[in-house]
Amino acid sequence: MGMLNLVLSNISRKPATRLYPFEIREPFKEFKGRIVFNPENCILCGICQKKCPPDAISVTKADKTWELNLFRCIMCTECVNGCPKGCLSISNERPKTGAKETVKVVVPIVDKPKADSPKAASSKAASSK
Amino acid sequence: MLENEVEIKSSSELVKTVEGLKNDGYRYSTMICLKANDGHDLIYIFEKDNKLKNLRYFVKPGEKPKSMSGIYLCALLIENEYQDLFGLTFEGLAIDYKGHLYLTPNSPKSPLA
Amino acid sequence: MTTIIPFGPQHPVLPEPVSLKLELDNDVVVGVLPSLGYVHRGLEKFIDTKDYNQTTYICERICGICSALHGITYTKSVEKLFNAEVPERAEYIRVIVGELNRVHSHLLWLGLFADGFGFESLFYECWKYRESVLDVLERITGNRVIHSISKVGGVSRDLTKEHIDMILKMLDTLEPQIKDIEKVFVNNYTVKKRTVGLATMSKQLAYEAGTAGPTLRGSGNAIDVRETEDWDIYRDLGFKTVVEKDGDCYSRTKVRVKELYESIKLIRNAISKLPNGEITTPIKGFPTGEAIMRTEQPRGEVVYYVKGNGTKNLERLKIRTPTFANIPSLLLTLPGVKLADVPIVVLTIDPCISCTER
Repeated sequence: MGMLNLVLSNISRKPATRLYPFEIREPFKEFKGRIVFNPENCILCGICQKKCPPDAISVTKADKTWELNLFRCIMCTECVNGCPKGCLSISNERPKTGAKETVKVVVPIVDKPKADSPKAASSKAASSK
Repeated sequence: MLENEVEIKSSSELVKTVEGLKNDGYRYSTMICLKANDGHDLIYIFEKDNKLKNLRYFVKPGEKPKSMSGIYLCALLIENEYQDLFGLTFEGLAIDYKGHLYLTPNSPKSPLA
Repeated sequence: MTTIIPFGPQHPVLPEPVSLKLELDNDVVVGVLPSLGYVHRGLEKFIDTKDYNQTTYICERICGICSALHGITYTKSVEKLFNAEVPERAEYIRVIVGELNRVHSHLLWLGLFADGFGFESLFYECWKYRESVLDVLERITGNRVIHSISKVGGVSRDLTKEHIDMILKMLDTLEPQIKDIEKVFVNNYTVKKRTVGLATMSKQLAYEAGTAGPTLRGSGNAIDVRETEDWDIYRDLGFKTVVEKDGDCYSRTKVRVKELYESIKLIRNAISKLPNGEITTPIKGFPTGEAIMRTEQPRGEVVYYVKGNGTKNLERLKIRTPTFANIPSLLLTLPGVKLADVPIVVLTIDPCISCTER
């Protein structure tokens, strides 16, 4: 009898799986999707680079760039918790497969009077990949 | 220094102590190998009634320590692992992989040592 | 006259590569030689290049199924080096995530086991129910497989009221579902034909072979690290060790099914007692000394040995994983078993080869 119940309930129930490419579940709001870098307050201290376990972040002071290797990043969010200026945040948006390997962002540093006027190093669309 | 640790001086004393522990109903948990003063430190961990007992034995450079797999069969896997990773040679192993448990003939010799 | 038959490294029932050389007399096994080394990654050496905080993430990547408990055990062992007192709320969150991890691991194993003896629809049922646990874990920790919940000094994310309601709701629906699949594993005639009396290990033999976890408890030894003072929070939660006395594949399955209920009970108790307060405590300096930490993973007892030398890198990290302890028991249980039953016996130790070789 148990089997008959199971058969009937399985016929009437909607499938447990989704028809994936046509029906995509919204990511949960707590999901660690990808790292978003906002270069405005960045002081190029390099703490994120030091904390990163897989060495995915590289900060170059000379060129004033911040670079994230997406293929190495393991989404541990050590950098997000470690950033003293709160430049890094987590987005719950799923990263797209086959995206570019690295995200390179030029950091416009303003708090250094010695360096000649900030060349309005227009931050290349930071968050897009 | 770990809790409940006994230092063992000679290899015959080690075998005798381990045999005694087996008769007392201890369970072989694992063995840890460390680099120390050119040689290696072996820490044998036994467990009974949720309490650990540790034996520490210093292997001099070039010494071949005795295998415990005759007393506890389960010791053979961890001893073979240290043959691979530390380049030790255990005497009297129940199944001897001759340093090829993890490593292949072309891989680097004793990577952890 | 005996024949040697290779079992693995690639075999339908094995998710991971391990090779057993089976010596057969007709179709009865008379000798076994396991050979490992297909997924050795040298993670114990790799910690030389990472500091002790980063090593947490290496430890979590030893195994995909029990990753939360690897991370928790590592962080607890490093906290032992610092003699650090972790906030109580963090300890409770670790228990909740650890036990959810055990629930999903046991459901995964039950599914694989059903697949091992050819009961495909039962396999689908188990994994369907497991999905709800994974969704909850993803919402709590932000990651689906490698949760990264524990860090040295506490936990990385807090539980909100919403999360707690979600966990309790999930457990309420999961419990009757587990009762459904339990009926099949425990009472079904066909399943019992395949598992009862197979590869019996006596109490004495299992103890002396140094086995761990459900393999040990399925043979009547009431040994569970959750009872010890290493992680004494479990005593307040009313933990009871699950023991079955027969020592065959059937009783090992029963241990795992009953542990599902035990874990659900523990999560409910932990949530009802969840204290308020901080979730991390700051830890300064570099570790020195030696410490051993044991916890109970889904597959059995895991032993972490850490040695610090006053620098940011640990000097030595040694991990004895449960499958490492259980593989020698195959040498004792497989002889006398028919070739057709070998996959089932190998599965009942819940082999996790990536754990074993690290």
